[in-house]
Amino acid sequence: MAVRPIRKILIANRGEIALRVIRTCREMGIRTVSVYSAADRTAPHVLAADEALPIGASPSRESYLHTGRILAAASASGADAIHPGYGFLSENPEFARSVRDAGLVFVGPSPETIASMGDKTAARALAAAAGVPTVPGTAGAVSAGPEAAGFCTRHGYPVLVKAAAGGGGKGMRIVREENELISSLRAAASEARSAFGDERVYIEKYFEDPRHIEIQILADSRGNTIHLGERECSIQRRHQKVVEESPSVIVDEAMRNRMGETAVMVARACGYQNAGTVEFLVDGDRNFYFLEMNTRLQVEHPVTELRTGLDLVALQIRIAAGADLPFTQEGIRFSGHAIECRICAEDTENNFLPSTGKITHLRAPAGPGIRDDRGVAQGDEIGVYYDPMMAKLIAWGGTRAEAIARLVRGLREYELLGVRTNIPLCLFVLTHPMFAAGDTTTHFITKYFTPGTLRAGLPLEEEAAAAVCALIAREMEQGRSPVLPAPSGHWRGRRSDFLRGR
Amino acid sequence: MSTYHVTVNGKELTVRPGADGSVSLDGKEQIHDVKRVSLTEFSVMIGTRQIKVIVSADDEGFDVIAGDFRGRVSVESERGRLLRRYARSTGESGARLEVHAPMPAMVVKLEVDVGDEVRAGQPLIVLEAMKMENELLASGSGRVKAVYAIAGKAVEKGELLLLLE
Repeated sequence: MAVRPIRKILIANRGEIALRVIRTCREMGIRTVSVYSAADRTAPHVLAADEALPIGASPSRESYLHTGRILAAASASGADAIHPGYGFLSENPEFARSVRDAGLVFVGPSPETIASMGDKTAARALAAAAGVPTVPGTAGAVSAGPEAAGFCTRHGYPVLVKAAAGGGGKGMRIVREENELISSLRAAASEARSAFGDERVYIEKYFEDPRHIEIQILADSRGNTIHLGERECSIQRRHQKVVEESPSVIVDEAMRNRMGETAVMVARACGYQNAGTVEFLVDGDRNFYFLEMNTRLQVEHPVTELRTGLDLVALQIRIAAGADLPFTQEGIRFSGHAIECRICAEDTENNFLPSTGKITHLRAPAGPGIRDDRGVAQGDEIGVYYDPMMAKLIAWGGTRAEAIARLVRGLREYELLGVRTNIPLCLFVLTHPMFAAGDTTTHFITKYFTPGTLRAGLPLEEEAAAAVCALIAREMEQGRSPVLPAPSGHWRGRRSDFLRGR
Repeated sequence: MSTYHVTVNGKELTVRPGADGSVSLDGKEQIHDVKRVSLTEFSVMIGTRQIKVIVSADDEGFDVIAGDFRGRVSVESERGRLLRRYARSTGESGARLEVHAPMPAMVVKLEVDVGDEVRAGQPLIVLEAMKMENELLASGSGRVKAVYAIAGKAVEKGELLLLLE
């Protein structure tokens, strides 16, 4: 493939990932085009772009998931390429095909590859055919009948019911006993239908205390395919990753090479081009099994960037433009340890309910070894339309202990008010002795976390908080408080309302 | 001097703010040097301990970061407390449980109908916000008296969704 210059990229996304892509484009001298929904006219990804075009109403379906409007924006702005980020349309083969048909470069793999890896049962079959170990599971989609029951009896309970079109934990159910199987299959199919418009589900053997370890790969249009080592993403809550790190404490060089070679086999088997991630489940005996391949940039890609010194977005753009990988596997050097945590607008103390509102105060941490990938700014409104992830905080250290210490320090420095965040949960995980010991399995949070563990007393801090709040309450009563929420916010009723202390 | 009952981390403190940045806590003449740094930022000295306090007010109280403490703080004035006690003693409707939307959301599904008997902990309504489905559970047992939520419709934070009795 001839090298095709890319001078202007439209980013079909929002939030921190849109900003991440814009930053690299700036460094490469590429002009950037943002698209925005009605709610996002002044969002950070719009303010950072060279050009910006509206693409519809606030719900994603009418904007960030609207292929026609995104293509129209690309055409109107004269963009050469579209970067899909992650989520939204990034793994939608029809979108990738429409981009190609419009004569634009899609920064990602071909629509055919996305389609072959998007169907999780087909992806498993493809990996198995390439000689890659997979988690024992049904060959294809199953209905609530004897085939399903037969598989479970042969392999034993517990089993996991998953959506064939799935991802993100939707349509997923653990079944521990035979009498729960039929109802779980029906419930998962119904959830899958509403989430993905596809009710097919399949069954896998369920491992009790596994680790989730994934391999980053890169492949150019000439078939050069390499891996950039692993990321362990075992710390999850309801199948959503919370903390990600590299290296994994259980992966040594030999295991890294074996997993890397296996990931490269999967990528070659589906004709992969661009950056991708092969996910594995690892059992207590360090056996690894192929789970799925993500055909896009991952949320947690900065972990790999800090450890390899590479810019994955720049490499994605170069590969999409037809350039060869500028290095071979032997040229990849790993250094130190990197850990990321996802900062989400959710209330750690109140069952992780999504938290909405205006960010009234925001100051992100800085200093040695800290990277702040953030998609929100002070004054932004966190609404109900999009994912609750606001930012990622990533730390690098020479050793795992140093990376942990830096990330903990960064989280303690993080000042964000107006919406509740999961920072207390991140701190809980990172300061837990079992995390330090490397006992990181996918059940870490269910095993160790209860909201009560956060209530350790900090008597002086609590007194200081009480003193300041009483001072402000007095100001409010006297009608001279500058801290009163703006009238445009959710403030209702009279000033004395909040003093009732609900 | 006004008195406030401040609830922080499940504990209640009686706080009397004095003049020029001094505050007494729980009746003790514990003087704090409170300096305002910006609209929302304060520096509190307790002895030589310096604690940075950042505050955001909303219609339900305060969102606070004070050193390593992060959480909600609620404040009730002495007068407000007396009014509330009075209201309670004159008898508000007692045995009704109102279920309000905890956040702006979309109603996905109604799990109960008018007339249903529900137990505490039973799912009542499924709401979706930020791509996540959340079940609203009954905080007590009773019979569903009225359902105001409509599947597929958006609701505002605090909107009355359902009534139990």
